[in-house]
Amino acid sequence: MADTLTALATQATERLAQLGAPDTKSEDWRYVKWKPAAELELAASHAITDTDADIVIVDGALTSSAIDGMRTSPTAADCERIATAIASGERADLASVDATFIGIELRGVRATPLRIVHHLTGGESALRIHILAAPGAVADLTIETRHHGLARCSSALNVVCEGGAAVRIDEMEGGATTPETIGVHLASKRLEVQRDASLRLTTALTGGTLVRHTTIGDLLDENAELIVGGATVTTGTSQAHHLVRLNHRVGKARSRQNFKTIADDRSLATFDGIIHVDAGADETDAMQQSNNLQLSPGARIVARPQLDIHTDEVIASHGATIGQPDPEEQRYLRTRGLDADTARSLIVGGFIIAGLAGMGSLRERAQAALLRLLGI
Amino acid sequence: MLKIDNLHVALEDGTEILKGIDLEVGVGEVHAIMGPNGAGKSTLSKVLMGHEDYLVTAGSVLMDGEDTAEWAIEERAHKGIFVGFQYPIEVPGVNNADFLRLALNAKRKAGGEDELSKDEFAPILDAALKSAEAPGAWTDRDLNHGFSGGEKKRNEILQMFVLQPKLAVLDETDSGLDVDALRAVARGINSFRGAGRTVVLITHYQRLLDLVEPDKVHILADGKIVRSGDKSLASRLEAEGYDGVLAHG
Repeated sequence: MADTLTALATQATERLAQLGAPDTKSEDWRYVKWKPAAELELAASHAITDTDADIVIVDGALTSSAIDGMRTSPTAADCERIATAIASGERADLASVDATFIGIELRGVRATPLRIVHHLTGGESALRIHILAAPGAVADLTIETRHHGLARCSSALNVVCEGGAAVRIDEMEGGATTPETIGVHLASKRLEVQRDASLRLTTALTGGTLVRHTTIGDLLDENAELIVGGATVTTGTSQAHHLVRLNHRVGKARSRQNFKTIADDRSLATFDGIIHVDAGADETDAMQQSNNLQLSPGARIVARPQLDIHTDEVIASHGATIGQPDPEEQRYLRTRGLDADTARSLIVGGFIIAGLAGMGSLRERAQAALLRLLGI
Repeated sequence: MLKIDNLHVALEDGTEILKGIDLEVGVGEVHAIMGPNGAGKSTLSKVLMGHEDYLVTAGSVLMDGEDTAEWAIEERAHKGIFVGFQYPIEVPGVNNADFLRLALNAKRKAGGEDELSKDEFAPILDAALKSAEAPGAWTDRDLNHGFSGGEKKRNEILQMFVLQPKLAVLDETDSGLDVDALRAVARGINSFRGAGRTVVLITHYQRLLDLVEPDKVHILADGKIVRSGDKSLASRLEAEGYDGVLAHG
């Protein structure tokens, strides 16, 4: 297996060199502001002691774990998935091929959430996590990326939900830190959902020098369900980007994309999402929604909801809104006695809370972190 | 309690909607305002609440003898004015119970009273739920979000019971309600009025007035109150329609 991985790493390095750094001529990267990322002065890495999670990673290095069945080298199936990632050419995936590998196999019903924390203190790092939920597995996971100092990181998360598995992942990036301490994080997520399985991934995201999450999901069999979404807040001059591609490979499967974003000051936030339905994937049920609040005139929001449907018999909807807090909502709250500022805060806060409604154990902390960023 | 004198209201573009309304409602009274579509009924309710899109061009609105002209929207709520809207707004992500406590605390703070903790607020909310005959589960839901049309109207009644205003203006609260919900709302309004509160009902239908007996009924047409009378006026409207009543005087 080590030889296989070495070969894959070589392939990935060559492919990365061939592709070069992405630029705004590429459709998938056209809204990314590269200059701040290029000029980033990385902080020096330092040690972090964290005993508050099942798996703790610091700057891409595994420092502790308390998980039965966790492995640190890929299986043949993992290697196949890495090969697929190399073929697709997503940079974060390529950069993470020979990074620290963490493989987790979920079986049965897990009573408490599995908690993974990745601390970024400085320097450059990469990380690859593969999660396999075996048939019938039921589990909640939380994955946090906590920024302590300016760092540059590529990460790849691969989640496979086999038949009948039900997995919920709460993801939080930024947390209590401010955008000024968040460097560059390119995250690539690949999600596979098989027959009768369900995967919900909800992300609370804070903008940084450059934070970009790519989510590629495949609904591989009938009655598969994939729900992705969350809430993003960008402030200052930070930027955050979501690129989402959910592919319905067969019919009778269900997907939902529900992303809410608030951009303030002179920040930049983008959502670029596609529902793709293969030919013959009849009776697909798919929905995509991007709702955005622009809190200041200098903030920039781009929303591109797209459908790519190759069959006739589907239910598929998509939409996007960009606006300021609704004055009608504000007025309604004032008629009940709230002053204008409180009413506005309540509406903006409610927007975040609604975006994170799908979260489990991480919800309250994620809500509090994003609301705090907005001074609410 | 409420005295409206020669009230003229226009939109920013100059279109006049209310053209000289005179209305006086005493403490503890229930008045019904009926009128054809576009007569200005909802505009009147919004003006009473201080909606900025409507300009008062002449006349006055007095509440307990005080001129309301300079009162901001929230100040009107603090002073005891409540409007149950025809189309209550949905506010996703804002928990109903949290919002109700915030609203009551805003009113208490304005009145120089201490704000209530969650524990202190709980019995008030329970009592309001009981009075409004609203399910307890509504307190866990977001404000009007995902509520049916009828549920939203009943949630307005719940808010009314929490805030205990002096004056409640209920704008077509009966529309969209099924028979059981209509009866529940009527019981709520009767219990509210029994506590010495004042109610102005804006409605199209006599069915609500069969359950909540008004002290006076007014017909608002083309921006003016053109007829006033007792409950029998509503019965005549039901039988003859606006054209018939207005034609025969």
